[in-house]
Amino acid sequence: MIALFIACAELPPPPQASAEPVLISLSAPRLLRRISLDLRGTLPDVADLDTVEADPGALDAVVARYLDDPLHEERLVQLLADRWHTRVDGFDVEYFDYGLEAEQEYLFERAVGEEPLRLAARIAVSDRPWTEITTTDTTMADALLGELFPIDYPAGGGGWQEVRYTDGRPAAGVLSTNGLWWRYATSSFNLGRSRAEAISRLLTCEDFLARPISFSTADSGAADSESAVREVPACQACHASLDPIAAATFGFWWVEEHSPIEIERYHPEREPLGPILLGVEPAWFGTPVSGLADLGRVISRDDRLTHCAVRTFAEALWRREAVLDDFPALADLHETFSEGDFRVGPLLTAIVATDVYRAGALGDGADDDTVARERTTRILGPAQIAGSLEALTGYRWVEDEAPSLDTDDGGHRVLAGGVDGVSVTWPQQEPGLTWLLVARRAAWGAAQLSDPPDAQPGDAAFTAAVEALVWQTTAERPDAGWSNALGQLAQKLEEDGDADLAWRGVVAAVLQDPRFLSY
Amino acid sequence: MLRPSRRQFAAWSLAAAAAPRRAAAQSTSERLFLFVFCDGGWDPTVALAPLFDASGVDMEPDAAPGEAGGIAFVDHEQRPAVRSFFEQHGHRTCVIHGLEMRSIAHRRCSQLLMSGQAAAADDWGTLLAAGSSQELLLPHLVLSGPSFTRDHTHLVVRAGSDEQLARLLDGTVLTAQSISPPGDVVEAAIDRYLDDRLSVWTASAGRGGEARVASLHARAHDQLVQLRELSGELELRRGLAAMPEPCEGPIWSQIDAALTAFSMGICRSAMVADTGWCAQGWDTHSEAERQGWNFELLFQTLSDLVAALDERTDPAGAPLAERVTVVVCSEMGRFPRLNDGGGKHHWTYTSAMLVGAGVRGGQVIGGYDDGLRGRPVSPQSGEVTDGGTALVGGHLGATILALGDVDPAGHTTASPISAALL
Repeated sequence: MIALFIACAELPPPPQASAEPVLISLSAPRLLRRISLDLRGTLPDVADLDTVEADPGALDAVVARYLDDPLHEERLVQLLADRWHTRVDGFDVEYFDYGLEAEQEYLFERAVGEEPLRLAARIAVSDRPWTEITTTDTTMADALLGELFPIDYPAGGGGWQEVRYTDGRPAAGVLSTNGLWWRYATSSFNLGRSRAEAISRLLTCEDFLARPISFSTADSGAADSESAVREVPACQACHASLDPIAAATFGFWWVEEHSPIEIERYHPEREPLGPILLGVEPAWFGTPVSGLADLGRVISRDDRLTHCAVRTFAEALWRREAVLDDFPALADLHETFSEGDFRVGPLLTAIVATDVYRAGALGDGADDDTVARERTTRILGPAQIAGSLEALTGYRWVEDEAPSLDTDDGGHRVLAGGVDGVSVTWPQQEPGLTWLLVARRAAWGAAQLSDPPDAQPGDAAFTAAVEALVWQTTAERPDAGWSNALGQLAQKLEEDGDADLAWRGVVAAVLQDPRFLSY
Repeated sequence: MLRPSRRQFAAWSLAAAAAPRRAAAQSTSERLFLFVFCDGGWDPTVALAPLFDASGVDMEPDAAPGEAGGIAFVDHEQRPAVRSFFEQHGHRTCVIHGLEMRSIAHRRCSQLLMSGQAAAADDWGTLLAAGSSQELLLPHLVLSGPSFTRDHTHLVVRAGSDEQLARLLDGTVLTAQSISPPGDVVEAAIDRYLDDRLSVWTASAGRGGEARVASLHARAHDQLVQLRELSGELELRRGLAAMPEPCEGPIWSQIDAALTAFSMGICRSAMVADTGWCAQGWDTHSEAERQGWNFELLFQTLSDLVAALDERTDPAGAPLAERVTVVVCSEMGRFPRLNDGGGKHHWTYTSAMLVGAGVRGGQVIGGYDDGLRGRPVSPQSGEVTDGGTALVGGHLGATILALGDVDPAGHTTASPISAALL
């Protein structure tokens, strides 16, 4: 008894309930700023900052409102584009093939590339189950696509609208969009396999291309590559699944890939070509399907579709790839997703409530893996920079009729840390030279559109305007040192110019401040 | 056709001479790397792999076995530049055959060749930049071609496809919007403010992500300030701005911009893409003859490149030839047989060339069998041997990293091909 008492007395004290967490959350205003930038692509409203500063418990209500903001749908398009890579600067058919003018190139490319993204985003924001993305008989089109594609875009309509194709194509959601297959084209040699790979990777996170293949172990007896993929075990490891998926996509089989009339239309008469050319019947990982619509239905019932959605959105908002340690959290998120009938809104709400998402600092207990992995501070991407600057001052950086931060064809999307969908497929995570250079040029451009206050540097009103600007742009109240630095800058610029230069210089400086460019 | 003009050479020489003390002081003897990436998948059997006895390979008609400078190659009367290059520079060239990409998709093959991994990872050029002992202004300069990054994205400086970097630097991106750029006085005042702010932030940043972002932000800020101070900047901009004109020396201007950066001591590695004759690329599913045209142009460019490396110097006055290793590669090869369209499909095996500093030249490492499959190799001797190592992109990368004194172990499980190293 005495020995037991001594033993218990020597045990280390139990963990304190108040021990510092490994992941320390951002302050409520700064967290709201992160959420707004991630879910709306722009800064939070000042009134909302004031609200959560006074009552951090009000955050959830603001988040719910942001999910209903029209900007949220635009942001989902951007987030999905970083993953699906359809917002590319060029397709096999170009704007001039349709007789469009050069200044319509950007509009044409984005309209085509965003078609599947906007369909998925529309399903998400209209509270429909994510599983509809492979079953719905609708698509999304703007007025330009309304002129070009065989769809029932309303006469006189404007903007993006949910419409239907009129060429008899199957109802298979994003799988029936021209935009997806223009990006993931195939050839008479590839026979739709690249499309099958894209379907698997984008919708179920099963990446055939990540599987190692050893041609060294392949049977050398095959006469040609087509025989090899049907006969050689090393090839069959992937092609046994891949080719039956490809076989269901031949309504999008093109005889001439540079012909608009050829690739804008679905070709039901070519559906039988898949089984003939590939030598396999259409199927989804062993489940026979009767065609593209059936493929979409089977995919919608595959658990991997919803698990992949959880992973896709979690990685986009955590700003890092999921690792093995994340599986419990991902499983919890999937449960939430399932309980919400696979509606994206509740899923996003759950993701932005995770500790990983909210982390702004690390506790002493963080191990080396956590220190290396967690993005406790993120940098603004090109869409967030553009969205924030436009909201603040109305500034839009446009060159050759295209938003410069959203194109690489003469623009600065990749240089600003964005994804081009071809050679750069993951958003930049940390500051670099060209990212900062683009951000600084954009900041200066935006500052020139900012209206100065009716006050001089040194006046209380000027100082108040500067402090309000800092609060609006960084969600932080400037301390004395920060305020003094800005005050000195204003006075220096006034000496060299005038009060207007002082104001615009201060605005430019704040928009280049590391606390503005990070979140 | 591909040679730079006397004016260009004069301008670039001036740029190197005008490099400021700060850049010159960064010079060390560490090796520099220029990647020439033949975009689309070249056919080694057209110029590099003389497989005339291979029953399973369709060789080009009228081609013949050739040998020069210790390199066995494919000779053809319409490709004199290939023979000329090996005659003059074969002794400093190592050809590596039989690299297996384990994919036949362009992007995936590019990634496997340039990073050794299927998942997101930093490519060899980026890792070399990360391994530099210097704080470089343009650590990995991507003038064109693939760029894969994960942990060290901040070290990659992309020039853009349309003079974007040059226009950002000189402010014409603003004047194009009818916005006056900030004057020097205003910019200096804002720089001072940002200096102070970054100092405060880096001093107070928590560990992990915040510390990384704060320090890298401060670093990028310093890079910008330094770049503006460079008196040779104008010439560098001119090099960056000289984008290729289709059918007129498609990659020379970019190669020259890279050499300018090397001469100024501000760059560890650079990437340029060779897009072949009239920028038609190397992906010849039809018109296999374009491979021959592309190789002829490529070897003309490589001859010019080696000549320029001999002529130009680093900030310490050493010839660039003593410091620069040129890596010439393509993401995949071509199927051994011609298809019905007169071209060749994708093939998982490819070849690569290392030229210049640190390379044991005058040799061919590895080989192909009758079906154009890579044969196992002894990394130590470079000879084909049963039970040897099947080469993959990781072996090429490990060799490149070893040349750059970067330990490959943390980046690839493959070992360097030591036979390729001096």
